[in-house]
Amino acid sequence: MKHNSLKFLFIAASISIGLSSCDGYLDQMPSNALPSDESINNIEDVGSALNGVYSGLLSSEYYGADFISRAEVGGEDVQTSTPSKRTENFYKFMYRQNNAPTGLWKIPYQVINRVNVLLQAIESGKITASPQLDNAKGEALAVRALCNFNLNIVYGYPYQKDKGASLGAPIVEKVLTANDMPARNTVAEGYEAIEKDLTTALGLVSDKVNDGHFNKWAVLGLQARVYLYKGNYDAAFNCAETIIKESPYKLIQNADYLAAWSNEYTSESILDLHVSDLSSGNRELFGYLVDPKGYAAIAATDAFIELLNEYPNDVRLGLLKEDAAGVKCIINKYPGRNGASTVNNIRVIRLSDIYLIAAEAALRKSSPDQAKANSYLNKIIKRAIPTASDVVATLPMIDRERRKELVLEGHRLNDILRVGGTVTREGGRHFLNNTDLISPNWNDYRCVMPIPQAEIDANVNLQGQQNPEY
Amino acid sequence: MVISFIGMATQEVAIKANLQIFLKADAEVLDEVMVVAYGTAKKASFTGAASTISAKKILKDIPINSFEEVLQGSAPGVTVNSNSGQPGAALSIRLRGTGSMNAGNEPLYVIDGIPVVSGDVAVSGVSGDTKSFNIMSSLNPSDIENITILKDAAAASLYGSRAANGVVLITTKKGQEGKTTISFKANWGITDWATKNRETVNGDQQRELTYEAFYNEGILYKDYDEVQAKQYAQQNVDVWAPKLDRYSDWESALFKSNGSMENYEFAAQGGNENTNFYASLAYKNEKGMVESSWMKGFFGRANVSHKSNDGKIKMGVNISMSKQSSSQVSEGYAYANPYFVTRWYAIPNIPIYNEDGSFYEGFPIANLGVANPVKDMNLDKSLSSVFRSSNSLWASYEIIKGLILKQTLSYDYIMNEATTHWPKASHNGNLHQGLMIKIPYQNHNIYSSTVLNYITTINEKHNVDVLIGWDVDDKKETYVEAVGKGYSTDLLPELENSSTPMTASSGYSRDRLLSVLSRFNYDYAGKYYISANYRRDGSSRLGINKRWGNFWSVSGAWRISSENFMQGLPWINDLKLRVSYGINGTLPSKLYSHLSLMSTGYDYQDKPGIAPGTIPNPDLAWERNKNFNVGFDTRLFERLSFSFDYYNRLTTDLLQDVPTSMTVGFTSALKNVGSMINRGVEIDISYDIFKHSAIQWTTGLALSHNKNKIDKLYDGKDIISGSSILREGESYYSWWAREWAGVDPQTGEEQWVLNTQNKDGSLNKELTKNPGEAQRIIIGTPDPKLTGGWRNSLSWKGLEFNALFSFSLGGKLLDDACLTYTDTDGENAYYAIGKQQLNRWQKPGDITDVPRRINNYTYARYSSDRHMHTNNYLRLKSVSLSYSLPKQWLNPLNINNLRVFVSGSNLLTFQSYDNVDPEQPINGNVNFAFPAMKSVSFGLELSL
Repeated sequence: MKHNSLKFLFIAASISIGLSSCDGYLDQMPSNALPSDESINNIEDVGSALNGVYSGLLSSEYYGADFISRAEVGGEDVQTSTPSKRTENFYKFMYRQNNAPTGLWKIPYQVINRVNVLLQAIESGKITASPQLDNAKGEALAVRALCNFNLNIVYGYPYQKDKGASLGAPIVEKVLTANDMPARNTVAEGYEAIEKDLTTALGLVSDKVNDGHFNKWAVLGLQARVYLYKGNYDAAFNCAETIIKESPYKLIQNADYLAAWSNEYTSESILDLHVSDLSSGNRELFGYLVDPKGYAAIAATDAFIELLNEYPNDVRLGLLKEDAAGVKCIINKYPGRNGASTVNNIRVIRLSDIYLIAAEAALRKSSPDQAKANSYLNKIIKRAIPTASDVVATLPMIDRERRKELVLEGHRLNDILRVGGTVTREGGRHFLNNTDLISPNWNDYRCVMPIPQAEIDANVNLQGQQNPEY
Repeated sequence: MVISFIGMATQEVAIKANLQIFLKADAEVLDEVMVVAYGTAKKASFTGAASTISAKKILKDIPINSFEEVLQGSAPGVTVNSNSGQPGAALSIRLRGTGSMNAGNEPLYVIDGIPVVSGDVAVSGVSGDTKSFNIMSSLNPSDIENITILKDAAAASLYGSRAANGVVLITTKKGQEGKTTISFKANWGITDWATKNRETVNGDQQRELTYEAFYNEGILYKDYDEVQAKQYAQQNVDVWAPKLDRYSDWESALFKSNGSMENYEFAAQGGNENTNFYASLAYKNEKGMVESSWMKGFFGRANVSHKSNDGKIKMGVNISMSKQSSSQVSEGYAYANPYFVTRWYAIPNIPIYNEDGSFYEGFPIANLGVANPVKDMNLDKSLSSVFRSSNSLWASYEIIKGLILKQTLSYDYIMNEATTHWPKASHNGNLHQGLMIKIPYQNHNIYSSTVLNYITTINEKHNVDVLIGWDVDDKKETYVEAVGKGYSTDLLPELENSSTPMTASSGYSRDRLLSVLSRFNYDYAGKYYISANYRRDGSSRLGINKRWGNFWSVSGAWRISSENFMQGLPWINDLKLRVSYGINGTLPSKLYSHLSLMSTGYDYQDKPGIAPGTIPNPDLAWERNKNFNVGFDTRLFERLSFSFDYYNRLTTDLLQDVPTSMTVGFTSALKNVGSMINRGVEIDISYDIFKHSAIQWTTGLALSHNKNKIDKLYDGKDIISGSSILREGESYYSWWAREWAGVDPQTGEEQWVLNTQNKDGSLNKELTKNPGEAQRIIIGTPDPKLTGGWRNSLSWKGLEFNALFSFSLGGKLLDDACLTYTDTDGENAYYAIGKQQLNRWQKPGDITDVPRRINNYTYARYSSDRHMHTNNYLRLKSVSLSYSLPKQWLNPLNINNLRVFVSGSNLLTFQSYDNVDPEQPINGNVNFAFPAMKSVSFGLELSL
């Protein structure tokens, strides 16, 4: 008996020796990943990789919140509701290289890397060519352009300030290794790369509606925006007008306007980033920053409320709702789906924006077209106020309409800066000190973000390339 | 010291123990046997550096959750830092300093010869959850017989790639030959904070300080005149810090007045010449300072061993089981942390209840997104339910005399079921209409060890001990995670009642280690000893290029006292000189960082997405720990024992998360780049003050000094992260912040030293009042200069007294929690205010280290050495007093022993910075974790 059990033990020992005598015993893989070089083999894998690309954009450090927050509370229409709330540092322009969030820099590059890994797999030729593959490649290029554009407007001075002569962001167009340290390119070089990617993309993507993804119209929409920022108004106008005339997207009707914000996609969603119901627990998303029962960090300024009250029957007045203290200063564009205020698609390119780009570019282009400007502007005004009479479009009028129509969608600060504007943020519930940036304009160093110190520490080629005065 | 009960004893000759052995002459001490790697050794012949701790002296009767809690001060070279005072919270243990950045610094734990899972095993589905669960608490401290701490290469290198941070060998109790004894022990105790923590000002003071901040803001920032400023201040003080008829006591509303503990243990042991057994069963219940902070559990153990009549075959089993559950509240900067909210916004000027008894919700910071903390308290649940079953089976066969083949097999299973429940009623749960997360996490550890050992003596003088062995270690962790939200009621908190399933996930990871090992010990006539160890390890955590590593040590000892020329010095009972050198390793903590992986989980539109998960490094290799040790042990006058060790631990191929340019898509990559040195001395003194009288008193002192230095970093580049810096030539824990230069007595403004670089390279020491201009420098390090413990053990007739003090000198704390919350000098009107703010500057001429208070203060939160404090302390770590009733009373009752005892932990603390508990995380950064507890307990033990 005793000896039998002993035998068992020694047999077990010899089995363990047999088991373990080869190296294969030590080859272990995780349960949630594949070796990189075996992971993108067919069109389905390409689809998965593309999903990985889009999902990166949704980080709360990027489109999920910070990218939108910065553009909103940095303008005059929206403010951090009270001191110490989230977004306060954007509101006060308090970020310096040591405390600036790295996300606005890190996340777009993370996404660009995902794009480049996907493009590398596509270019290796091992995936059978097909229209879907072309479409995927076009989408990937468009996302890269979007990231690159955002990097340039956050970290580089507006193109029109100095024709893109100042430094923007490094252009990364292939998969880098851990040891690569690209230096900054100029804003002009950045725009060139963006335009190139978008032109290539345009030749590849489908014109079918593909919610949550880039298609031909979204690429054109992004082109319109890029040209608008660059001051190439002729091109901006052409892109915008093509969308208006040829695309399947339609302006939301007045009657549906208020309800549309709680829809997943709308008839205007040229490019929405899809936020899933499964994100309902992510309280760092922008919707929860706005939600008066959430972080309640973001509110309309008195100036904006006054602006919106210009016409008492403006449908957009219905977006204003009460905060916890009963003040009607919450802009209800992020009501959430299914009762979760965190779950809102991010409206990156919306048809109304395209109308307003078309109107503005029509006035600014080399041969101004007043009639078209009137037509496109009046479409937006009359959708909001059906009883309004036609106006003759002027640039200040279009600017005001952009504020009313696009508030809280991540445009305002960029709209001010791209044309060298300046606004003053005083009075009302503002709580800026005189040491804070009260009047954002492109001459103040704080209007562009500092390159994160961590990046400069890690990348020798960026040393000496910090934005001026930081 | 206790001689009996050795683990897998190969030298049982020594174990015909009876009580007399304690009192025998000192010559016997030399035959003392200690547990070492893969066996036992005579203490006299051991050439490595190790400390042995007898459970009888240190652990007995002390109400603790896990044995590591009393290691601090028990032996030199051991530091124990607790991260939280909640029951069952994890501890961090360091032997001889911090030797690694990314490969773990915790020692390897070996229980009865089986390397086991140690440390924090808590899992959670909530990001940033501070919950922890120290798995070592599954080992009932009363089952421990003794502990050996292996410190140098000679002692530890048989554990190869896991030995770099030292090894803690734990031996559990074994039955003794003779009468079967049964004992029952129970104790009850209460617990409370060990020290006062972060006291805040009262309601009237809050008003006064708030008023002042707004007044100053008016004058200084808003250019108000005196009248306007006063009006402004008055308006605001009534908003932010209103006058209440009765100020609120949030502390009492959120915390209990004390915690409690109870303990019931049953043990039986006995045996005959061939077979012995030890069995125990225990129940423990510990309650913390808030309702939902507790831990309780059952523990059982059976150790049985048997030998054949001819003594050739031996076999045994060690089986233990435990079922524990614990609940913790959030710590850190979570609003659900009561210790934080009471030092954040729950100020005396805010009512807890409305007059009708309902909860007050009208915080001046209504938009903060927080609920009334008292209302919310204890609603959210974060639970761990841990079941552990450790089973080991061993057998040995003496093939020929002295040649023993031994096989050990062990299966250690841990099931940790983590539950998070946020009911609808809670602030967290409200968002989801109630939410539950369940994560059953299983840990399977299979270990097999095959060892052939030959011990012989040739010509009576040449003692040889040769061992070869083969180990296989296979760890598999599996998990399932399920999340569901949308509950119709809070009363049915199970996922089957949720309307919306959110996550259903599962996965596993596997970690394998293969090893061959060998040892050669030789001594000549008990005078000259040499020893060599070699181990080759292969690990699944490393790439094919660098998978196998060789680890070894050589050591020698010279017993000078056995030399003829020493015979004239009879007062030197023993003197032994030891020296060792060797290389141990450390494995990367991440399992797959050598691989280039595309990971799943990057889903979009609820469809699967993949993305690159790591930047690969196929050349990832072991960290190597080059360990030199020289020391001596001596015993003098048959009373005084003295041990000294000097060591130099050089870690090379240090794994470092080297920051990459973020433009590559990642922020860092793991590489073997740096090196780090720990150098130190350890002294252990033990003295028998009264030895042969009715009173016996032994006292001992453990002292250690360790100096840590980073020798080399990737590219020589500093790595700065927040207020910490890694820099060549400096300690691993170094703070990087501005140098604070006090408060200008004329204006009350803060001042900083510029520390900009002059042309000649020196630092400009001029002062500035704008912290933005001041450059950061290394302001200090938390590393203490001297740590140690003072132990005392006294007995007189039936009375027995044990006490252990631990102390630390020359360390520092950086209290940045002050900087950001309680001491922002007025920046935030709604913040609770630390008592030290009462010393703020008020008028010209005030000499103080707290500046004038200004609402919206622009220069708040600039990290500097203002909140860095020297942390010297002396703490009565544990103390116990017991009385055994005289035998003559008990014998008629057939009672073997009846003992009553009182004991305590952390009862006294003397400290240089008294705002927080002196025992803080090893990096010296003080946060809002629950502080350490003290306890007093009373108990009795009956044995039959």
